[in-house]
Amino acid sequence: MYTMKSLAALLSLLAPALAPAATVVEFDADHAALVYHKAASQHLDLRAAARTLQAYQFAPNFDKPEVLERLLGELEAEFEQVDPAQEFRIEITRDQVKEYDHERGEFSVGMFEQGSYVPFSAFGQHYMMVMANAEGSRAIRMPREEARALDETLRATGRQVRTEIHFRIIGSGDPAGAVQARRGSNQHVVRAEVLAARLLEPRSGRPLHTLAVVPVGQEPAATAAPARPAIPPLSAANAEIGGLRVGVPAATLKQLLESVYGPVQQRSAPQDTDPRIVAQLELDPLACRGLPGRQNHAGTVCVTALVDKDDVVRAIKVERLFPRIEFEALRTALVARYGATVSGEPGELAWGPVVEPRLLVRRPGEHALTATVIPVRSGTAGSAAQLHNVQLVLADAAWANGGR
Amino acid sequence: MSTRTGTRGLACGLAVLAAALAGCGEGGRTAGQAAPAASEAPPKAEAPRSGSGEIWAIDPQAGRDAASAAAALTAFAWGMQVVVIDGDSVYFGLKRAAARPGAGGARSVRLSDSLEATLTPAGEHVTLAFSNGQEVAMQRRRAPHVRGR
Repeated sequence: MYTMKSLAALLSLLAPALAPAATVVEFDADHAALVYHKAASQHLDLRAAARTLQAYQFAPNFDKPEVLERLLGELEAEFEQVDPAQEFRIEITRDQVKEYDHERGEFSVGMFEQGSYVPFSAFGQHYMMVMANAEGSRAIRMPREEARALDETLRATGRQVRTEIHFRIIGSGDPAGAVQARRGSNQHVVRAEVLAARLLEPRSGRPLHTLAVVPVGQEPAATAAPARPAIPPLSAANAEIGGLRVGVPAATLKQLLESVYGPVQQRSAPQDTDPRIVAQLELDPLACRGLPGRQNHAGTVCVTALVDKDDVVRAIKVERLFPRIEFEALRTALVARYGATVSGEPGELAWGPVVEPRLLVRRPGEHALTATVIPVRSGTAGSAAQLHNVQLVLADAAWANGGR
Repeated sequence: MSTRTGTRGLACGLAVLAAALAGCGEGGRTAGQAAPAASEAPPKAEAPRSGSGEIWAIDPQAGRDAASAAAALTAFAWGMQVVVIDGDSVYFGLKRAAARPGAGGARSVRLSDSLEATLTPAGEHVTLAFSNGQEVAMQRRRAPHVRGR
């Protein structure tokens, strides 16, 4: 991690290389949020924003009204003064460059692949910043002979890089549609334009490669490249989790589970679920929960399924206990399977359309497919072990939203 | 502004990490756009016959190291945390795939346009290797006893 001082020093060294003319400031979440709301003409409740500030939250209750008015005044003045064309510099500290694609003759930079975004929070709001012209910077195209040297450098860093980006905020929403805010939430998709970008060696900060930049509006002609095979979007035909699907007869699911895992219990539907659900199938759900004094075992698989009156599975949850998990590894595996995520809560991955009824999920309005990791403390206090419950939940969105 | 908001603003600024999602298709198709169509028929569900075939499960301890963790996650993503090998057929989840035989008793099944899984006997284990280079050991599991089945 860098201190602000060292970042400022670094910025002063880098600024001439990347932004000779405009005034570029170091990325700051609050500043970027204000610029976004101004540049994109998106309303921000400044009074509510002021209430999220520490100066208000830590003030004695007696003083809060006065502190709030003072902070509100400051915020209003800042919002008035903020320059919607402000340019920022940011470093993405854990970016990755993929293996050289010999067919396409290119490396691909993770930050600029479709579905990637930079998350930040300010004033009690969550922002997902996508680069509208990311595709222009995504590929490092070079001949095989030239690529070998860069590949050797990347192998030495485990393919990790720091990606330095100069950008400005230009509006709202992901033009590719891959990153979406949850409806009715405090999430915002910030649209930004890359002005300059380069890869840095992760430890030393030594420049490795300056990336191409194609200004917004000039992308199609400049970035024409052979199409890559697409991962099909989530659909009834390919939506499955842990090999299990919705839309199948309950008897078929039960037969499979009992053939390979163990006994399945059938219960009446949970009270708080969609009224069209009449039954629930369960394969040992407690075995995946961390209960006091209970010994859980890595490798355990638990399944819960909701069944409608026609005995068809309409929602399913598959859990598996892993001894250790890196969230990024889970993300990589699932994105390779299902394609780019839509937005989810922090620590959650999500795909597909929003499902309005409550089906095996914490609340209505979840996406059709979600993935979360829940830590499970197994055993007694003296011999507790940490396991990780990877939980995949899939709902039949067409049925749920279609009212059949 | 970080000064006004104290550590919150600073932490946000420094904690910014790329979501760095792996690539998805071009051409504007995204996971979020396509609602499962009611008219789109899912593939036929095929569960293995009870008591038929050999059941193999990912080694429960797989994941203690990063390499096997990645392979175990890939297996879970594709429903291969447990497979049933029954002659030339490999069942994983509600799918049955005709396996392509290979050297040393290996059986390969295609999972997608870009991913293939190969199950190869290795002593008392089976090695599940993906074409992306990941591999993980699988252990034989006895068929569960379900009363009244």
